[in-house]
Amino acid sequence: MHDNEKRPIDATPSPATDCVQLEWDEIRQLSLRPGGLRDRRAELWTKLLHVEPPNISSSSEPDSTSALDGEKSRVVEPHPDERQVRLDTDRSFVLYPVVGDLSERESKQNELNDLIVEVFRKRRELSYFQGYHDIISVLFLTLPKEVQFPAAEKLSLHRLRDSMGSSLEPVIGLLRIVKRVLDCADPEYSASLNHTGKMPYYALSNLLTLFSHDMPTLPLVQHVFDYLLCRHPIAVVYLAAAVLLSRKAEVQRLQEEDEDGMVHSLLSSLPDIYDDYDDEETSIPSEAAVVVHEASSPSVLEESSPSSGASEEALSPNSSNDNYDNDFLSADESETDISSHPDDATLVDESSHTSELDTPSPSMLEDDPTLVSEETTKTLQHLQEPSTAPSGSFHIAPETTYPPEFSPRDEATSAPAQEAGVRRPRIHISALLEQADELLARYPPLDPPVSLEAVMGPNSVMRTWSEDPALLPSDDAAERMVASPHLVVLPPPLEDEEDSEAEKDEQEEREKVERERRHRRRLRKPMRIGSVVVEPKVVVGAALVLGVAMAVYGWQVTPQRHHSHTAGRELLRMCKYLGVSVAALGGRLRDGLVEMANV
Amino acid sequence: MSKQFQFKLVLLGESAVGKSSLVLRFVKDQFDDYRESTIGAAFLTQTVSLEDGTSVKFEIWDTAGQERYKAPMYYRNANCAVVVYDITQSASLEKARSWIRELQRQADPSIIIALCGNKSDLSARRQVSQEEAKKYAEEEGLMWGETSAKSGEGVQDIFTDIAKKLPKSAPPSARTAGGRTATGARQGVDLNKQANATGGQGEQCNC
Repeated sequence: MHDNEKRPIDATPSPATDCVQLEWDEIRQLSLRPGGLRDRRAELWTKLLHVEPPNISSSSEPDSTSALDGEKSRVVEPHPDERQVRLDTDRSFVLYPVVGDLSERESKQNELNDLIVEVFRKRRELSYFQGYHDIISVLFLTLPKEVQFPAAEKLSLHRLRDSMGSSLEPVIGLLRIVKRVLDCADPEYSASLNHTGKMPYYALSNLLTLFSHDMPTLPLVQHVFDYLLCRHPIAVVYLAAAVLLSRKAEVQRLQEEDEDGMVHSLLSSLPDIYDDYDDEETSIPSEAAVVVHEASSPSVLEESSPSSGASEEALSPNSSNDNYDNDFLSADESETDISSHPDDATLVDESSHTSELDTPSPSMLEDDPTLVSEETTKTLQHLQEPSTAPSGSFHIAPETTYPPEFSPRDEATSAPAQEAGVRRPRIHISALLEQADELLARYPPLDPPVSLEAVMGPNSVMRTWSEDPALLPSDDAAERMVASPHLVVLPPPLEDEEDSEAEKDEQEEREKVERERRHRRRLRKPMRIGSVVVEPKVVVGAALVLGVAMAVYGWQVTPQRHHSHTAGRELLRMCKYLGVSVAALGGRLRDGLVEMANV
Repeated sequence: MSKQFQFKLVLLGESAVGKSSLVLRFVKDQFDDYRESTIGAAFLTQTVSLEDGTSVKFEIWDTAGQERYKAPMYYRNANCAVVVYDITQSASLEKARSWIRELQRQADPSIIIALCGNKSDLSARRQVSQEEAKKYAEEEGLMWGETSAKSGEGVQDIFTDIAKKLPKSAPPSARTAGGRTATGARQGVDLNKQANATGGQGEQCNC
């Protein structure tokens, strides 16, 4: 087997070649249809993740890389996050029902735990985040055993990596992009959401877990994965935006009722999403939707006992709640206070985290700027073909008004909303996915105002991902990227922890600069990344000066990472002094300047 | 016509100590044997009526336990915090201590903190004695109680005790109209400040 002559590499199509030949566009179309990839799912996911067929990878010894991989996978030293993994896998399979009895579930949980632990023991640089177990559980329940591990590994390294560093900052960056998409798609609505908080934290769970934490059924989340895995990783942002847009009517009603606080809760739940195909599997197939410990219930809509809250976090939009008459409340029942609604307890919201937002240094030039390859640009730009769909409107199925006993239990807000006659949208998943595609085409990630590259750093999966496995960073390189968080997400506009007047002024100043920059940019045609000559002209003077300083400074210290880290802090200080956001410089300028510096 | 006061309450503590279960018991009087991990945080509300005729509406942030989700924004404007540990896991009390230190350092100085030993139904596996926890709570000036989200024991008590202890000198309108604390609580979100810093970028979009 060590003899290459027996298996001439160039005579045999490599697995990579197979992947290149994947008909991405065709699969994308297929993923939009009811039922998604259906019976081709396992096969296609495996290919989309660039997983080598197991028979080849297991038999190839001569390759030093795989020998090394083999070595690494034999490391038995526990990963520091294993305890947390166990805490979560012990609480897994609550939502996606696989089993009827406890021991069977426990054995599934153990298998899931083993799978996750295997990934972290091999890829020790990666950190576990709560919700990762939800994602892996979908692979676990979908793929054949032999490809589960390589698929989980590839998915982690090339799509989930940003969230697998030490902090939540990268996903906060994605939230900022969600916000930008919302601003474009429906400025009024987006502005109205600012009452609840300008950052769409309610989308955090969906971004982090690729919707796997909140989708109510396995078939639905599989369909979402069908959609996401054959697209650029940024697609999840647009899908999240599409979901938020679908709740507009409900949000407006709550706002009219002066329930802004509950808007937050509403938006962290999903609308009533359904799928239908073959007249069999719908959004709530009985084998999939029933909460495990109540497997005998015919459907979620009917299963609801006082102890049925096992799926609370699931926020199953299709599920109901007949616990309306909860008599627990000691408060005077006359109040129509939404807080007295028992469904309050189900709201998942999101977190964020500010503690470290000001720590990353903006030394984005210290690493290899060529990571932002032309290929990445191309990959992203395929997303940018103009949409042929003229309408930005939502294709929503006929709305349904739930009778009281079918009230969706995932929204505390549903109580007042329903009392006031607001209907809860019931959306076909295909319509939702198409809407996401439309947003993607209409507001391309690389172009302003979305400007992905002004938010995510060169090491982000959003910028390293490629359809072509040959253009992806190697698995080992990808693993190492989490160690440089400042290259994954660029520093946000300087955070003001204490909201002081001075800082507000500073913020206003930043916004003014940003506005100006944007205005000038709008006057020009979009340009490709790397356009060196033209781009600097569009930037206001201060930013240009700073940008040049950064480019030169960063370029000089490139060989020494440690030093450049310090340099980054210096730069951050400089930025603060100039009152210019580093992020505001934008990726194009930066890249252009790097090229200039390298000339 | 009773006066209603509104306060922001944050639940903190190590993963899997039962924070979400505690809230579920408090708000819905339910318990799940199986409950998924919280991702990020959950937001919910519950109102408690007091004997003096007033009522207290809690706006509750139930946070995820993992370290990476630790976010000062959840407690920065909180009026009260319930820091939960698991009486069968002594490590979880250590975690609770670190939370309390952080609150004492970072949160509003007037914040009311309750230390809560959950899973009291599992006392056969107890690793944290009542004496130890109580002594610590007294030293730090915290409220303390043990609860079982499973049986319901002690759950209502701890929230009611907090409701009683919260200052209700200011009229409700003052609390909801006034300073940053009330504003944050009123909206059920205290994310505004951070959002202010980052959210302006897309506003000028004219597309």
